[in-house]
Amino acid sequence: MSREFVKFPRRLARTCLLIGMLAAGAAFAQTRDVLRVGIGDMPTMLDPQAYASITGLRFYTNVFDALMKLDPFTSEIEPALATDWQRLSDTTLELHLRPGVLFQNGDPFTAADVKFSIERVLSGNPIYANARAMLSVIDHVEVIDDLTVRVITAAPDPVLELRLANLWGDWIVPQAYIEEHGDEYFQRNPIGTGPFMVTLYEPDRIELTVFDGYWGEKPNVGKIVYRGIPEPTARLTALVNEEIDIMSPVVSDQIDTLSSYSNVSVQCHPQNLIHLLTYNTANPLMADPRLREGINLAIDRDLIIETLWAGRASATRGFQFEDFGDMYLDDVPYTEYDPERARELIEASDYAGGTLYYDLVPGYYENDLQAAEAIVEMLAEVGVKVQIRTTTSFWLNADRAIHPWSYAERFPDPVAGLWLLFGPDGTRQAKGRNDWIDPSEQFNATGHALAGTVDQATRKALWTDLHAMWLTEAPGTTLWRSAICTGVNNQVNWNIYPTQTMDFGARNLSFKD
Amino acid sequence: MNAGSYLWTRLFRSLLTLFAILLVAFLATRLSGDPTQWLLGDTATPAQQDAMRSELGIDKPIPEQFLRYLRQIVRGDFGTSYFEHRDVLVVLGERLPPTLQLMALAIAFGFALGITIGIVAAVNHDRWIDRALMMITFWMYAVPNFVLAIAMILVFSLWLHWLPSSSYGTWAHAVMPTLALGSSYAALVARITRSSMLDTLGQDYVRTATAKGLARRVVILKHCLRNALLPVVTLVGLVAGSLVGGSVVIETVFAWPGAGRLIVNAVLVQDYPVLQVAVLLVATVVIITNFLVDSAYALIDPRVQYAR
Amino acid sequence: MPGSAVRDRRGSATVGAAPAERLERRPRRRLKIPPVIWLSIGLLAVALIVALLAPLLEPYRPTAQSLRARLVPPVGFGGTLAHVLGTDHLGRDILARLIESLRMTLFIAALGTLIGALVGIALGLLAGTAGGFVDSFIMFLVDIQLAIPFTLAALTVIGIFGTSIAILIPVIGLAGWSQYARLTRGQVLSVRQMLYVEAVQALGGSQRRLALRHILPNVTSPIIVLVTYTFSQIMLLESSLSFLGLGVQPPQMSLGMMVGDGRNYLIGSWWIAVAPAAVLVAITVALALFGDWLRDRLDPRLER
Repeated sequence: MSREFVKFPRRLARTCLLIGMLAAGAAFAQTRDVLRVGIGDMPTMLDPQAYASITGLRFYTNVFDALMKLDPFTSEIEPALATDWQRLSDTTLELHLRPGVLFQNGDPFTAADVKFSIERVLSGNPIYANARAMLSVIDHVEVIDDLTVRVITAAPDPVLELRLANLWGDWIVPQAYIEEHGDEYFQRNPIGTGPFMVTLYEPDRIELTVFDGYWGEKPNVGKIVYRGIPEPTARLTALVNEEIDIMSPVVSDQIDTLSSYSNVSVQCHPQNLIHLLTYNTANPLMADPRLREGINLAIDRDLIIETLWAGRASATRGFQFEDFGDMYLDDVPYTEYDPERARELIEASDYAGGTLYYDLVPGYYENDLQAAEAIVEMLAEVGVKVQIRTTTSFWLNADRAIHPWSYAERFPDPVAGLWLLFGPDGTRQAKGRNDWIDPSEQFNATGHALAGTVDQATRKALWTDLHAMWLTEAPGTTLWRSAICTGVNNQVNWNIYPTQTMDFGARNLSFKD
Repeated sequence: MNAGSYLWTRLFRSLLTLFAILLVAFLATRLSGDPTQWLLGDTATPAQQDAMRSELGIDKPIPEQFLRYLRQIVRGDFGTSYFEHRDVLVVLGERLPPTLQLMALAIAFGFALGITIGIVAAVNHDRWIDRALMMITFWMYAVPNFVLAIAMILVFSLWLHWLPSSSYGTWAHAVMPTLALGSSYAALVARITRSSMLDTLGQDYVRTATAKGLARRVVILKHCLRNALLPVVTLVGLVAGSLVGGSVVIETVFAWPGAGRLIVNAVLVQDYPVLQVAVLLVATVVIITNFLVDSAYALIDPRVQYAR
Repeated sequence: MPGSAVRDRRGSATVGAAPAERLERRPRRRLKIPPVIWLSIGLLAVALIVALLAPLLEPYRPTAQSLRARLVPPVGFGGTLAHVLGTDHLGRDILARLIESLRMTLFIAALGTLIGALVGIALGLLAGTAGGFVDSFIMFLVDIQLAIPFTLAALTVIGIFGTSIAILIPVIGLAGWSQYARLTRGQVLSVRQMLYVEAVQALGGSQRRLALRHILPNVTSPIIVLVTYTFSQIMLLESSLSFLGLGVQPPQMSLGMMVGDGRNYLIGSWWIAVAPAAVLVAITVALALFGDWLRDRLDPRLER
């Protein structure tokens, strides 16, 4: 792959973004009857609260609405089903709901549906665990009238608005419909208040049809056909042959090929996803933090980004995204590559040459196996013997030492990032997992303080401390911020969002003639 | 032993086999890891996992689980997919027709092409056309089916634009999956038809028929083929089982919405109920096919001994 | 090879001769080997030698990466002599990997075949000589094996116990046991009906002696033919599992895995998949040709 090409996707992405926004902003956007989308894997259900996953995000925005939503590029909070809101106290948020909104079966949307949706997630059923992790601070919901509702938290929560605007748990579902048909029926026959209705749900084929009663702007397409095409070559061929209009994802080494066809183009965006490695500190081989720090220094992230990712992924300043705003720690350095110091640290550590197992589920994350093979060679250079072991679940083997993981941004705040994933309520510290067994007391105390403090300046100081402690205690490391590439037919103006949300609403989809 | 009691014994053995397979499938899936991680996601706590384990009934002793499972099966309740949270019969039910369709097409194609090749080769025994055809069957057998499948996508879809690259629906979508799945069976059928034809062509009654002055074509079609095809027919039963294995791969490449991919996925995400029912279902199909083939064989051909 | 399944359901095999004919010694004909068989044998011999000498022949360490020299094409397509067959997506030398993969693939197939043959022959002999309940039980196991398509069984076992070589080889090897068991059992039953066996028994010969002295020699030829078939079957099976990501795992490598990994690069960097696929197909075809020829030689019914 040529060196010049490495920079190409980003430039392309920016250009496409610009074109897309201009086109979408045009007064007379072209419309079309059907848009065909080819994706790698299909959702096992379309209940947005039970199936909170990236695969689901390709559908939810089109079928459902949330109370608020985050602008996909700036992460500003925007109104959606709630038109405005204010804090009545430290623990109470009052929301006014949009009048005249209909569910796709014709039922009106009211405050009772908001209460039902939130309480459904909080009900304790493990199927809603992912969504509940976002909303568990909520104590109860009060319906004031049909269009007014109050959300009350148990303790002051600085990010309640962000929680209600995140993509992982706040979708509004219809109370009457679910109570009539049951949860299992709803999972396959969902209805929401969004611009499209689910009209066909078969293996490998899902169709969404425009909902005429939608409260917002009418989309520029009548129907969306999603097709599951797992084999990358078949997916690419389908796009080039115009059997589909959009394909996602495009893997790194397909970009060159796709770019050589004149009827399609490739768009790449940084994704709101940081790939991680986590260390099993319960494994005696990994007990010494000096070894862990040495491993962190021995990985040449830039080389992998430049080659395996063709420059699409990017380095991060630790465990955070730029859209954290005030909370972004811009003085945290990019993770260093220093094999000399790595070797010193590892020699000084208790590590005496045992084999470290690097467990992974191949294909779970983009480039995971290739990156692992590269990392193993880099670690061999500094005297650490690592062996890849493929498995069907990260947690299967107690003697694992390293495994890949990811931080998908739920909303832009460390409370939904480092603290969610590495805090005492997350999986790393969970007793059954036995994964990070030696977190310092300060780490947990600082995190608790961060989650319960409203004052911004204090929060930033706490976050600075928390992040620094995580780096020294080294229960894992950040690798890179990944990127998502999609292939799009040139007749289509459309962009995938950094969250991997596929939005086919009027503001993000139009057609050239 | 007469044909009737032979069939009863055969039926009993088939049922016993099914039960053994049920037991093995049940035990095997219970020996594997814990599915709650996949079900609950990254942020689940141990308490939530315990709750889910008891909800699924996988915290009980194994014999108790098996009895419970048997009782449910008798009631027609094969369980709920851990992953899709739906009745496994429904999940498999919507996946089964495409797979059966693909298998039927592949068998039809494999047998039509294979028998043709076999006859042509046998009739031209030891001539260049025989050798060329046999060489082709070796190649058809030797190329791994996923290589053939991807090569066909590149040639017929990407370069020639003749056929749709993947998916399911019209006959055009079925062409490449059928060829990719059926070609190694065509090779197999061709080899057997050929050697079986050569056997029959050498037999006395055929020589007599030829000597009586019947046209060679008539002899071949009327006398030889019927007898030569008997061993080929038995193949259907054997092939039905191994086609399921092939369809796992072919369905993945062509995004064919069948049961093969469901099975692979069930293995990867440890969806025990789906896996159990899939294994049971496939085994049932294979056992029934073989039973029917055997019975037909026993009834048609009096030379078959009923003892094992 | 296709012929491997050519057996009717009552256990006798059309592979190999009817024992009655076999027992009569035929006048030995001079072995005339056609050129295409010479070619096959030569290819197989070269493959075997390359596999045995692999560490000496590999131009690079097969796992050595050079991320900055990834996807280099072979000589003649823009590449240099540094990497004769080019490099893969991690900048590893394809030729070195091809040699190492050949070694692994042949190792898996050989060991797998051995396991399947030993288990199958042992159970077949047991079933044929012991008879009664033992026979019924072993044939019951054969029934079970036949009813579960092998890929499905392999998927289940590998899904449960993981993807190590120590699991993979026995799992793949056991795919063929029932073929050997039925073949052996069928031969045993036929031989037992022979008059001279009754004579041996009447003279007080033991069962074990009977099995070793009289039955095994008779069953050897069809088993050799079956070995060539199962060997190539296992190679194809391993490549299917590798395609599904359930075969050999890195840092180890096999031909099937190289093809499986390389398939996503077929447009653009075709050499990653084409080189191992060509070797895989060539060996399978050579084995099939050789096995077929061997069957013709060893099976008097087909000699015409």
